Amino acid sequence: MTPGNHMQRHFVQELEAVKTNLIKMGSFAEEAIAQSIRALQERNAELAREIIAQDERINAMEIAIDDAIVDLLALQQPVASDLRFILAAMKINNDLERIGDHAVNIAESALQYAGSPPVKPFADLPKMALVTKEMLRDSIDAFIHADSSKARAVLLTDDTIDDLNRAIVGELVALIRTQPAVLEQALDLIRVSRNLERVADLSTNIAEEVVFVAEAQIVKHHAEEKPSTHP
Amino acid sequence: MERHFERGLEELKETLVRMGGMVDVQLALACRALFDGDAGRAREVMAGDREIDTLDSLIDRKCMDIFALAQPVAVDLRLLMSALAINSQLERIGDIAVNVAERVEPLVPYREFLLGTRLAEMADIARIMVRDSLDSFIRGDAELASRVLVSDDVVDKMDGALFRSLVSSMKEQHELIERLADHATNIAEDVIFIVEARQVKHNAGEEIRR
Repeated sequence: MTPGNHMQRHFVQELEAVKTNLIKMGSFAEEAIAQSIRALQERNAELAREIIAQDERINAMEIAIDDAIVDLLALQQPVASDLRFILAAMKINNDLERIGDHAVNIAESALQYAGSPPVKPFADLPKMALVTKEMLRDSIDAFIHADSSKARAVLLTDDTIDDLNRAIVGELVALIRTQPAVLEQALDLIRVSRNLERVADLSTNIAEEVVFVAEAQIVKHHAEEKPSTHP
Repeated sequence: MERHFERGLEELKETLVRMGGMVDVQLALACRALFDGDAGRAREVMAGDREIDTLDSLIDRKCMDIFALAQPVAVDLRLLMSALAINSQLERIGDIAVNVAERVEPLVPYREFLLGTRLAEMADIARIMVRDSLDSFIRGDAELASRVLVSDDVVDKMDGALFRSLVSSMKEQHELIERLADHATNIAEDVIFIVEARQVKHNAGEEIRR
């Protein structure tokens, strides 16, 4: 075997390792979001505290992936499409770490919320969490499989999230108006909704990277003119 | 090869500084629009975001070119990766200026109330933090980077206090509730996000520790 082939194989292996770790980190972040919503719904303070404690793991994963990417860039000196892919992996790594932070924010709101009586039955918030989780999973999936049509579908789903966020916040503000006593609890839920909306935005960022890599063109500033939308 | 990298990096730093300056202006204009209740200026901020997006794409491309042509290793490689990360942070901070601008109009009736809070002070500190963290990267100044970390705690505390005071004001004046419940907490959270500028400080610190 020529040295070139050997290098090539080594590169492919290391690239696979980065992909595997990103998938792992993605499902970890996804799980953190799901569990934080569960903690909120079930008023489970212990679970909420667990999620807050586990953020260290996501942070450690981010650093490990970053280091692997540096090694990959330094030792293999990739060019063109490999380079684009690796740089996208770097950004996605950072987006996933932030998603972990949002799970912590939700868990903190869950802790607060569990401290007083619930203000209303859950309806749209779990639904929003479900759609957000799917967006996150699909965006990672699209990245791993270089599936730009799946990525584009994620970009479209973001509108659903914006609608849900608007509906949830609207309903809670109406509730506060009629029952000012529930102000704090309603604000906790508004914060949860906003955090989910940010997670959806970050998933959208990941999807934009995928389209960028796949089509080697910058869609991110055209696909969605507005930045993260708020009601 | 070496010279090529040096030149590329210098150019990159210059462009990052230009981007940092533009983001800072956007933040300043957005905050002024908010506290003056100036919807026209807010619209200028929204329109100005396009330029930042263009610069973001340009910096990304510059980084890619340097990677491809100079094939940097070790410290140079880390530096380049930090530049990329900082670029995307700045772009997102630009988006936040737009988010603040979007809320200017609905908040016009609550201007007096906003002026009574410490939001303006928070926004000033946040802007200084963005500037200092970028400076610390450009100059490799570890001490400045660690000062940014200290300010982060200060702003976190201000956010908590602001939120609590908002809640109590809303309890006293129910008519404030309707809009403030949503918009004001959003703005406070945005300021916090600006302040986090996490990757900037993370990478700047890392660079300096070497």
